[in-house]
Amino acid sequence: MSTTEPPVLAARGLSAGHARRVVVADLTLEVRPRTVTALVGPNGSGKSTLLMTLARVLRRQAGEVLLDDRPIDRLPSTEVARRLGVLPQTAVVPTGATVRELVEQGRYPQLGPWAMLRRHDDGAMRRALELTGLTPLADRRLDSLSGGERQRAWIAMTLAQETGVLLLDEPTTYLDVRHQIDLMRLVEHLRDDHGLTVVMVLHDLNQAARHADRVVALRDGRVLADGTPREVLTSGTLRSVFDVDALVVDDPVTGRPLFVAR
Amino acid sequence: MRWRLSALVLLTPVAGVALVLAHLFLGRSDVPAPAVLRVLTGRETEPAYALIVLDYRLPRVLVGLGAGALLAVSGVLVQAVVRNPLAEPATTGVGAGAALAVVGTLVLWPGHALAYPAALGGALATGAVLYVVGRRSFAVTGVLLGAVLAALTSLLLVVDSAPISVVLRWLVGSLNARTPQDWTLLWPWLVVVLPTAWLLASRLNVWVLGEPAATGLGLRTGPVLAVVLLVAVAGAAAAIAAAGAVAFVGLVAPHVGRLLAGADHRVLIPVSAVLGALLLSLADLVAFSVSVQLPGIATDVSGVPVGAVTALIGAPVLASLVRRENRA
Amino acid sequence: MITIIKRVELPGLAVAALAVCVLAALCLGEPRLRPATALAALTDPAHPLRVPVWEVRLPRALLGLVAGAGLAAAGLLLQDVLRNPIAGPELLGVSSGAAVVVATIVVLGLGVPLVVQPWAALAGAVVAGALVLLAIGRTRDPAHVALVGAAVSAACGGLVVAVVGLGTQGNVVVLFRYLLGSLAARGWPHLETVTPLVAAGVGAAWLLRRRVEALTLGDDVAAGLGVPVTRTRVAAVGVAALLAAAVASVCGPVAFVALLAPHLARRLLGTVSTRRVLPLAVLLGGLLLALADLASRLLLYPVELPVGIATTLVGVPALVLLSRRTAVPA
Repeated sequence: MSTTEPPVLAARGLSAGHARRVVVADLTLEVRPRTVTALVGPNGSGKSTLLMTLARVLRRQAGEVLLDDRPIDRLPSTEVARRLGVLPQTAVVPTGATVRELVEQGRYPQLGPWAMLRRHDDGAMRRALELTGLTPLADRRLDSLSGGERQRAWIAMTLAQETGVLLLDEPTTYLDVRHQIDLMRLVEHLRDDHGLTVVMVLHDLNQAARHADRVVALRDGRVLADGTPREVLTSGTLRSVFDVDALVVDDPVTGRPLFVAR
Repeated sequence: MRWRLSALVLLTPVAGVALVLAHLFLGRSDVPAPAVLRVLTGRETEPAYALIVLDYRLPRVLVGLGAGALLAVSGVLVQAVVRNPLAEPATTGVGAGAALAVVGTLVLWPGHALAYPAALGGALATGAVLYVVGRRSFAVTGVLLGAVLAALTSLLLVVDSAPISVVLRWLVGSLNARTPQDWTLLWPWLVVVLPTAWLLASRLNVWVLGEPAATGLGLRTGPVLAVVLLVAVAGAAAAIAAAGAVAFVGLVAPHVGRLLAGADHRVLIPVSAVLGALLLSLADLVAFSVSVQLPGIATDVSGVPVGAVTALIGAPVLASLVRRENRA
Repeated sequence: MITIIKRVELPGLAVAALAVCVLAALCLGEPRLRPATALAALTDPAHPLRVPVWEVRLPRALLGLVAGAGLAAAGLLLQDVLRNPIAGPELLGVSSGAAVVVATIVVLGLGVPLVVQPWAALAGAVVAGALVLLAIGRTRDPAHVALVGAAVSAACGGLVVAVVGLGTQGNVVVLFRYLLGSLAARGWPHLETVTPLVAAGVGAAWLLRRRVEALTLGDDVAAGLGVPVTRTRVAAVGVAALLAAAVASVCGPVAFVALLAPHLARRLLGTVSTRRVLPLAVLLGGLLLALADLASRLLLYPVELPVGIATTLVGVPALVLLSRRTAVPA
């Protein structure tokens, strides 16, 4: 990780929210390439709003979002979708669609006007299914799957997009422990071997500490702490961000900070 | 899925031809079968037979097929817009809008043949109103809008009940007394709406994933929604203007289409169009073959409106839809 | 305004408004009477105006009150046990199912006695309502409810039209009574048919009020509180169906009173508690329908509108306005 490289994704003076309610106010954030950033904070702190505004899913109220140094809303939407993939939190289950059909939608930004799949698209879909362990379930209907399998199918769709940047909103929701660990390893693998940049909202602070290069702690739409897990996850920050009294010890396995509530 | 599709591709032309022939050979007036054959091969000398087959029966079956296809495709699009397989063209209130416009013109300018443009205009205007006021929930808004428009229609009919028998056709849908002109007015819509709908298919596949995911995949959801709704309303409006607000074809055809062809709109749209065409035409065959003799009613009633038949077919299909939904 | 004052004053105001409304219904129309004359005709059996006041206007006004009250109770029960803001007999197919049966009886002249009609209508209401309830399953999504209800209502509407088409042209006018609801030409026999059923239904709703309120918190919570969830839901929906069927058998499916009255009561009281809302909702339902009937009688006089037109044209915008500021999606 180099700090001299230009940010792949950046927010400058960003304000965002729903309708007239401002959730994120005047926020500045730069995301370096090939890093995993975790957004943490209490409920209503603006994590998801920030993430969805970075993904241009929510319209910003002020400031700007830059993707590769260019304002994201000046780029054509499919152009953005080729560089940046989003996993939203509330996803609809399309009636009757199979896992493969869902994953296929990840190729939408790459399709030509006639919307025909090419060989490379097949490869991308196959890799996405493999990475999420869904190959055996590819032809099952989504509505016959468990919550966790469905969540993995959505992750596979986002991966099939083959973007350099991934924005994941609480990706571990609905997943059991094993699949949570698998997903976090997958994120690290994507960063290390494919050079992806990942920004994700996480609720589990220990997950953030263990797998992120950088943790951004938000409260009331402002960044309260920003840095490596060791810098951010201290008793002091935990108190000011979450109002919890916590002990931070060293994880015996990874040596990263481990949070224990008192 | 594959074998079902192949069976469909093989069977539908057969079914279609059989249906068209049934329509041409059967009917309320007696035309001997050899005469029908002679008419079709252009060798009939009796002008009355040619008139019945070519000017009464042929337009009726063509309008039925065309309106069925349009309703089915409109149904697929409306279901995609509200992301719910229980929606149908009537969900948008366009049928009620068409009926109101027809009654309105009949009350204001009696004696003028304005029904067709009125139905079309009323349906399109309703679609526009829905687009403007319904962003929060097209389904709930459409249903409420339909209720208001129906109440306004009734208001007009209470003031002036002369158009009542005419408007029944728009309320339930009927293919009685279709003319070649009806077909002339309908086919351009088929040519525009069906291909446009199909070109929207891959965007619909993305749209049904929900607004955030669709935006994330680069779909410009605002314009796409407007275009899809416009095409859906245009298809329904043309069908309603030609055949009245036939219920359930727009619900049943996409439902069966999904069973046979899956959820991919690139396949679902053409399959549903074919199924809708066959379904409406078949229901019409049933409708005009039915002859009801009820106790307490002196007259022999024949020629039930096709909308009543589709409503009867629709109820069990709705029930099956329901069962599948609840299992999921 | 303080809640306690509201709780005493609002029902009082509603009762006063009801009284004024009934008096107005007795006086207005042709011939137009002074309140004193109307009251005299009411009390004196030999009064020259006895017939219009006692035989025509009074039963009709009272029928409006009773029917509206029954509809409001039905709407409140359905909204609360299904935890769905747009659940109401008109959007659950219950009213239109009942209307099919009644229209069939009337148009085909099947000679079913008036007293039996509500029970026949109940059968139609239950069939259509059951279909919708099965269809919406466990979902709380108002859109889903609206779609299924609209589909079933459309099927019922198609059947009514088909049935009416079988009748003679003269009966076609009857159509609108059974598609929209009307209080025209109703007398004491109608009132006597529907009143015991509505009274029983509202009474049952009152008995169920605490259990229903527990259900509004969710099935798990209600079960945890010791409420028999399924039995309560079945009972409440059954009572609502009976109320809607009873009203529809006499007046046709008068729309949007059942939906609107509970929402209005909740808004006025500032609470969603079933047992607090129930009394005011019932009063408001009666008031709304009586007012709507008065309006539909006088607005285009001498032409009389089916009251269902008035309730729809007023009810839908009111519902949308109410939903703007509450959690009701529309």
